[in-house]
Amino acid sequence: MKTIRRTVNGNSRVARQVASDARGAAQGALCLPHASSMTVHHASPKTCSSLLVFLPLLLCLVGLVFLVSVSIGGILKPNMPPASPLEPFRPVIQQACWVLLGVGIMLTLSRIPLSFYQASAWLWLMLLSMVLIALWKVPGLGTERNGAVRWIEFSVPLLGRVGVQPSELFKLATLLYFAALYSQITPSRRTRRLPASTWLYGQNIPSSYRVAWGKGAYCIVALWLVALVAIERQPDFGTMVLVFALGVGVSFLGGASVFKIAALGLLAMLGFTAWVALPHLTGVDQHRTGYRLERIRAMLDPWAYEYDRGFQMVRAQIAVGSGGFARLALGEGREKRYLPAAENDYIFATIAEETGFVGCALCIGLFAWLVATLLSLASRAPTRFGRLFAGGLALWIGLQALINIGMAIGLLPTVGVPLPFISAGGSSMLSLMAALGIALAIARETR
Amino acid sequence: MRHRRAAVRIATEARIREQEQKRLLCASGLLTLGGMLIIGRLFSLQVLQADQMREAARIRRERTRPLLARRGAILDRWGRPLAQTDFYYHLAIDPRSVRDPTAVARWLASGLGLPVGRLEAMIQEAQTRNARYLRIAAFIPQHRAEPFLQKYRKTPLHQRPALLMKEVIPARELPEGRLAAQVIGLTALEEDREQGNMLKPLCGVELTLNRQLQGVNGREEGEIAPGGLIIPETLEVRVPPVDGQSVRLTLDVAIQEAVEQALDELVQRHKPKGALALVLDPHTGEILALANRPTFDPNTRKGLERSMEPLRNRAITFLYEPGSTLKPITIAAALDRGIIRPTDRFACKNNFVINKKRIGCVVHGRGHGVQTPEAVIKNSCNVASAQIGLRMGLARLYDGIQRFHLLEPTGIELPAEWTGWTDPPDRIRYGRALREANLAFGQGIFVTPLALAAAYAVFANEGRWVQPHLLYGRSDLRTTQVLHPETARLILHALVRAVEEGTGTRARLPGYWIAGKTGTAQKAIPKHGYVRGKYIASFIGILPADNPRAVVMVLADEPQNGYYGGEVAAPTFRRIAQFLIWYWKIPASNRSNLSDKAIRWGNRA
Repeated sequence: MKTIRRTVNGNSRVARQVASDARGAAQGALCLPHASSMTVHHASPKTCSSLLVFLPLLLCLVGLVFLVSVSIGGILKPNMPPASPLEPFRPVIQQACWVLLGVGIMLTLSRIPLSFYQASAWLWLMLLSMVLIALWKVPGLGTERNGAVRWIEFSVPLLGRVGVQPSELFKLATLLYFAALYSQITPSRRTRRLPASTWLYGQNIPSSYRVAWGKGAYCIVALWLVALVAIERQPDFGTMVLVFALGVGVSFLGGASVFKIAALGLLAMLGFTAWVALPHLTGVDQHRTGYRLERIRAMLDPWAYEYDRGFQMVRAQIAVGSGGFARLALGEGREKRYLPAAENDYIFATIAEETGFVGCALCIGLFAWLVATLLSLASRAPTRFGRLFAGGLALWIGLQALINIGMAIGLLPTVGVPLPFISAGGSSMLSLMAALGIALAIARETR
Repeated sequence: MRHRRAAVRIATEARIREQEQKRLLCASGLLTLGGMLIIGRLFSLQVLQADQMREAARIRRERTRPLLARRGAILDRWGRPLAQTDFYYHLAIDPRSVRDPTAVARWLASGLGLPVGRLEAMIQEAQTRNARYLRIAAFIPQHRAEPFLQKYRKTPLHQRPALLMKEVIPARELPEGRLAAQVIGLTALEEDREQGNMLKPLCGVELTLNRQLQGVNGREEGEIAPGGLIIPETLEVRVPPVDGQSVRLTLDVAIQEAVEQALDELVQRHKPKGALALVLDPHTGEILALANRPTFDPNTRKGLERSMEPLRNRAITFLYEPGSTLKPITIAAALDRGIIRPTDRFACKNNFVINKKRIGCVVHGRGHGVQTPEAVIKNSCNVASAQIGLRMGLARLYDGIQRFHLLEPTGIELPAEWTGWTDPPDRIRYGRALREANLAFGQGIFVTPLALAAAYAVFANEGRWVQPHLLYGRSDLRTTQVLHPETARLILHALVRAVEEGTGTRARLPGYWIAGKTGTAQKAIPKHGYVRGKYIASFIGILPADNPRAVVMVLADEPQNGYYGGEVAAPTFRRIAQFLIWYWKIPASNRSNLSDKAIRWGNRA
């Protein structure tokens, strides 16, 4: 494949050069689409789109292989004797279905022009926020699994009961909406007199731009915040943090003030501290919410809480550590027998145990490659919506992978965040594939 | 103008792009940092700490499961079981593994014979609690549980309705119930997950012979499946359990049963505080039966609710003043050493004063008159015994008693045996004469019933003392020649006359020579002396006197409705003797039998 190397000199004061030089205006206009302060190998648009299909599918394949491995371990788990010999492998078959369905959705969505997503983003976010709030407030709507109400179950004719996790789709809607919000910009009223340029054009140029925050935008962001509370109440603290980080991250990419983001971050930290500490300080509702501090304590020293809250963390660390440097023992891992949620939240522990450090590094490398592809797309896309969306998607996949792997190796507490493309789970798979479909549409428009 | 507007637009665009690029760079830098952190942590876990983690995994994966050894049985002399061990199973399921409570309840009920409705309700209730362990049946006997488990193991994994777990409980069973409960003793279940459930002995033969009975639990080590079962393919170590050995006691279930019944009758009639009956083989020292009252049921432990008194084995943990029953022993010691002769005569005027203390006989009028030693035994005469005691002196008296092993433990295979006791002669400073007189008729000395019965066995065994014991076929018995055989025969003859003509006439059996001695001891309480109304009635008999087969001792502590040994204990002895004659088919004695074997007292002079 042909890659074109385009670099612009490290000096990024392009605009001023443009403004100061009459000839430079035309040159600058030519250079702009590819202007980048990064020195990267940019894949051609064609390569980029094929990578965007190939890498996720490779990750899905890895996921299926280790799902089979975990299912083999699950046969020995006697807390639910299988109804048929194929029963333990049901998650694998289901996951394969999800992958196929996901690829279909990806290819379909990639045909739809970008403007559609940009225009309808607010609608999706509003709908999903409503669904999440309904899940929180309407009893009996959601299905409880492992003590959390995250799923809405449907009866599908062929597949049987299928649970949909709206919070996964909510990630995609958040990404779409914030990208759309920050791509609607108008030049700022404030202008700046530039001494060298005024003589030529006789007019000041705007010093910055601003985002068109209208009344509707405020309403929808408020709704988004309520939906975040609803996710926390499920309870699913990890997803809440991830969605919040995604929104803030896209805003950051879209040029929101760093000070405001820092202030928001500080506020979030304070809120978190209060969330953890208040039940203990006030004693109100302590029996139900007192687990938060316990969970943090368990995270700091899981070995001291081994047979309590730290059980999963300890088992996962043991599994990861047993892998050693290099190993290829697919299906031979032992710890998956004892590890709860080994097929979704903790699948990385099995990967680590069965392939060792080398396998882990390869897996992380695949993620890094995918994220880098998306980042390069983000730096080249012609429309601002496309750039923000691709950058946001890179953040989504990267952050989620980091959180999940960090959880498996004991850097982060146990939260319900799946490993993208690898963990079993339909909603996560479909929303990621849909997002990639939109990224493919962006890549198609990048010519 | 158009130029200018386009330039502004382009410039703005450029400014925006520039900002976007910076921020993208920032974000990718952040992600890279996170990635580095994760790679670093992975390296530390997987490369630097790999061995540590593998060891941690091994420790958590491998388990040791105990394999239970069966505690040995306790048998009687003919091999009939007195105590044996059975295994009982507690069965449990993981309620979360049940899909269809109705079907599982039916399956369990048909296999184990439990009510379906209650099981189903239990499973459903546990499922709503989200419990992980539900005990569905407790104490299922092995013969019932094992076929069920076999069937379960043969069922393919995906057809098993529920996960089963078992816990094995050893239980001690006493098929003969309350027979010789104090001798056999009790065990207690000690639950131990590591070493395995064990029966720990508490008392009786269970405790003293624990080394043979206990056995050694085995173990198996292997990888554990999440439900707690060892995966068969991963079994690394398997040490099979070593069952305990059975022990055979000298007891005879039939005799024991008869003795218990006779003792029941005594208790019913006289309501004593405690009672004891024992049967001893005088030649071998074997204890054929040993019964105590009050007693308890070792299977249900009924009788032990209020106090532990029923656990007391009075044969070895009861010290009492033997009273008249000691007279044959002192007289035998005196005769044997030639201090007195069978033809000596002692006068009893029912009034004998030593150190201003009067010693009297329980006889109306003028006392027993002039008597030979034989008559002293027959009449149970205190005055004459005192005279013999005085003639012996304290040292020889003490030595004589000691040689009957009355002042030492017999060494029987039972725990916590008490030791007979009296003041040794060198520690007595004043009142020696009174001591000598008292000791001769059994006061101021404390013995255990078993030691006394063993001392009487000397008369039945040609003067040879054999250590009484419970373990069948012992070869390391202590025996000593206490008396010359002639002396033993003389005393035996005197004891026959005591039954025929003296105090023990209620023990007589037509057609058989019975030797025996009654004893009626007033109980002494420290600092108060002898108490009126509290007696210990006893009878020791030898059966039959012409060819001794058994020494039978009956003792009642504080009987009501009469207190003489001849009145309380002798009838019980008679019952036991009747049974023994029937059981052993002892031929009737003829009159000459005794005269052939025993030397007539009168003719010897």
